[in-house]
Amino acid sequence: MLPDVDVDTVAEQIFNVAFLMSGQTCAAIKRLYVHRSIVEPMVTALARRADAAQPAQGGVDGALDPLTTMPQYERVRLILDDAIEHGARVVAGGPSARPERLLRGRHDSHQRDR
Amino acid sequence: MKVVADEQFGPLLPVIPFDDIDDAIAAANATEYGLCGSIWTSDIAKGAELAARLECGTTLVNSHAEVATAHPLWRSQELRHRPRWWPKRYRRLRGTADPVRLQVAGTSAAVVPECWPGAASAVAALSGRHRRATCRRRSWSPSTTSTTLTCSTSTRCARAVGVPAAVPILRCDARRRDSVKAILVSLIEEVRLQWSVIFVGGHEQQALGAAETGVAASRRPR
Repeated sequence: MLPDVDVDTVAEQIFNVAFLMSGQTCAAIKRLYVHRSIVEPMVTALARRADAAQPAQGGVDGALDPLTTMPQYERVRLILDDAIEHGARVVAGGPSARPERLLRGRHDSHQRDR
Repeated sequence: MKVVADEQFGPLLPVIPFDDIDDAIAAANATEYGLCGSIWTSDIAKGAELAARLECGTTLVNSHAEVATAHPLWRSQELRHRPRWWPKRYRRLRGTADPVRLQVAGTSAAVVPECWPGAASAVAALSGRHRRATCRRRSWSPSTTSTTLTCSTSTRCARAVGVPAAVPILRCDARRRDSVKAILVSLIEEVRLQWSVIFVGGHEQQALGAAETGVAASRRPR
């Protein structure tokens, strides 16, 4: 992302594509390179949207869909932990949030949680 | 860091600052993945130039996740994921001999070499005679490729960021570039596609902008 973009409008689009089905889409944005001069406002704008996003069952606009399975949830948590361990700054959600809410409605929710 | 090097497939998005765009593109190309990539900028021409340097199946400017499935480079991504023990020349192989496909914002469009059996019907479809025509599973050497005319939504995204239109990136075999370009120009004239189109052919890259095709890029198609 070049520094000449309008941060708010682009953040909205980036968020929508990156968190399409909670990121469980093959072509969703998986990593975002932002010019250093706008990285702070961009991160803030993305975090604002992430904080506002409500987990819900699929089909609801503006909602984060559930993760597919418990193992996938654990995998995502491991990746997040790894990122934090390597110095990533979590700006929204993260370990203190309640990602468990994203487990409701998952594909294997009828199974007993491990 | 896993979240950057692997595919998280979950609600995590790493934001990585860069100082030099060349470094960012190099880092983006250095990953195992490359289904879809995008450049976000208000400068479409520059964005298109940069997008052409991304090694992705589909590259877009100011839009994302509109994947052209019959895209030549899409095949190269398949090959990239073939086993490591394959000879390097196969792993590095880039498919460029396929029907070329173009996603034009806000309309249905496909651009194919004129020798492709679907070319005539694609043009007919786009000229309004068959609005929703699709061409699929045409036989094509060296393999059968499924091609569907698609309607993409880049217009909305483009308008939101204040640029005329998202720029579709078209790649094709350099040898076919002239015939593809001819079709493209006729398409633009015939269908009155009001977009500037970036044309990327093989190793050479060429921008087929509004000036060259004589259409304004800022107006919507009918």
